[in-house]
Amino acid sequence: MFTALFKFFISNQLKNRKTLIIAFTGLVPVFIALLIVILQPLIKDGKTAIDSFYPNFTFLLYLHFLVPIVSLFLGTGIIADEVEDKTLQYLIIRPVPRFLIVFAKFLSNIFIGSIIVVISLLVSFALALFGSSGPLNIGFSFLIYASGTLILGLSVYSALFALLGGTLRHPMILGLLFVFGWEKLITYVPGNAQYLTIMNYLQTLYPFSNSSSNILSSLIGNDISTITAILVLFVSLFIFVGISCYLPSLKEYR
Amino acid sequence: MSIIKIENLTKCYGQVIGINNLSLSIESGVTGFLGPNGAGKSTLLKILTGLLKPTQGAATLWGEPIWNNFKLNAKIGYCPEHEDFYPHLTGFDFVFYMVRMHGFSISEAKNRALTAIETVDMSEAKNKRIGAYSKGMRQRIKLAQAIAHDPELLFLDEPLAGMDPLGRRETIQLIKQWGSNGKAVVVSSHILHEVEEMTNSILLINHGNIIAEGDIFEIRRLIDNHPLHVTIGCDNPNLLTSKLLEYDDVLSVQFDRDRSEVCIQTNQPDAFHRRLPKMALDNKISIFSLQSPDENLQAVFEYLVK
Repeated sequence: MFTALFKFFISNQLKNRKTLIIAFTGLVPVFIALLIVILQPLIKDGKTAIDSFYPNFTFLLYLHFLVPIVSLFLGTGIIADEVEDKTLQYLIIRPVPRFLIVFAKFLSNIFIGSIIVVISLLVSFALALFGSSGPLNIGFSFLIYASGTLILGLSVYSALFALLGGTLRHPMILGLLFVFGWEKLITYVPGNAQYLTIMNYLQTLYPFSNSSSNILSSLIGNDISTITAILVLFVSLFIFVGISCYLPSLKEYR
Repeated sequence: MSIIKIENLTKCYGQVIGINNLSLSIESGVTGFLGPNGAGKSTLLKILTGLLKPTQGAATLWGEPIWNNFKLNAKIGYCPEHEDFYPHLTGFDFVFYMVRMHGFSISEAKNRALTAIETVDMSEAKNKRIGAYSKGMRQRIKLAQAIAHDPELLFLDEPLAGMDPLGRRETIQLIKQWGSNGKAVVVSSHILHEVEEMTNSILLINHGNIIAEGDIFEIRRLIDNHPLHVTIGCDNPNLLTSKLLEYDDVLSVQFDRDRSEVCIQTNQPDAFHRRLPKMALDNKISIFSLQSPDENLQAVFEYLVK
């Protein structure tokens, strides 16, 4: 049953216009990377600039921009799209537990989102390599750690947005406010409020986030251990996914 | 045991009552839910398919509660009223994946999807995107997904909406066939003659209440207290009018001189029908047409809704 549901959602998502929009969004960092590579001869000491710039570039454009945006699009749609499009009833009338429907769609969306984000990261990395004066300070281990963090971020944000999509009428608006309001502003509030953001824990896991070259990280001054960050993110993921999956068993979707 | 059993079912949407303390039981065969738009037919079907939860009362299928009982869904098929779909999928993919969710293997699901698509005469368009389908084609593919897993109980919400006359005729035949093959089919419609063509077993629903149920003829008997309209075409409407007015059970008479027709209202239809031939013979009135629009379901429905 799960395989059938998963394949169905993948098949439907791949043909969906929304996925195309998300894929185009994934191209944004690639275009910016391409632009930097093209323009670097005009910049004084441009080759060196790319070397030092790439980790910050991925930190800002992937972790702080692409992951929340892709999660917002994919996560809010997990339940809300089926309800708005009135297609949920085709699924609910199958002999499949309701939680499994949401869980299969969640995983299929994470799968598609991860492919978009990771391919984009690989392409921008290739462009950075191409534009670099020599080997970059970062290697393939960076790509593996960065990809892992981005996928985990994608999962946690998507699960949270799935929950919003299953309970609220306009989840996109609240999601945007959360990502570009709460998540950004709260980090500058004195005290422990920053521990209430997902991004705070993701930054801890992101490679190079503690390096001196990372502007945001140095501003934020993150003191969370890797273990704590992983634990908090996974616990959040399980809670958000669990509630999202349980919602259709409690709630009527007309 | 009844396949569908509903006891004191009430469904409220906030302050609005969708279904009002409704009780009924349904056996196999075709049963028609008849009522105007907003009568509560779709709400009732959604409760019976587990899409909505009753506010009060109980609804069971084969004695089992419906809400959150996903295992029951293996035995039911549902064709919803609305036309919303996964527009990017082809008709075949849509039916195939829906069948797969019933636990069938890939090859079995393919065979079942193809058979269902052929049954609803959609084989030629099966590889087109649903988004490119006409309204009638969408209706057919909805039917295909409802029947592909060979359910014992079928819920069809306005299944003929948007179909051309040929499609309607074919679908009516299919529904009658499923009913005669021992399956239970519940069809909702607001178009009376459609239901009349499918079944004699109907439930008239309005404002969330059942206002009549049973065989169409039983329902007809229920309205015996209501006046019956009869239009008589004859060669001497003046004479016929004067003779008819001699009887107390004839409540009103109107005649159309141009069309040589007399339209009467009677509250004793059987007595009227027994008396009319003798009256015509005795007074040498030639009667060339006799119509009672009240005999059709529309009239029955209107009477009962009043």
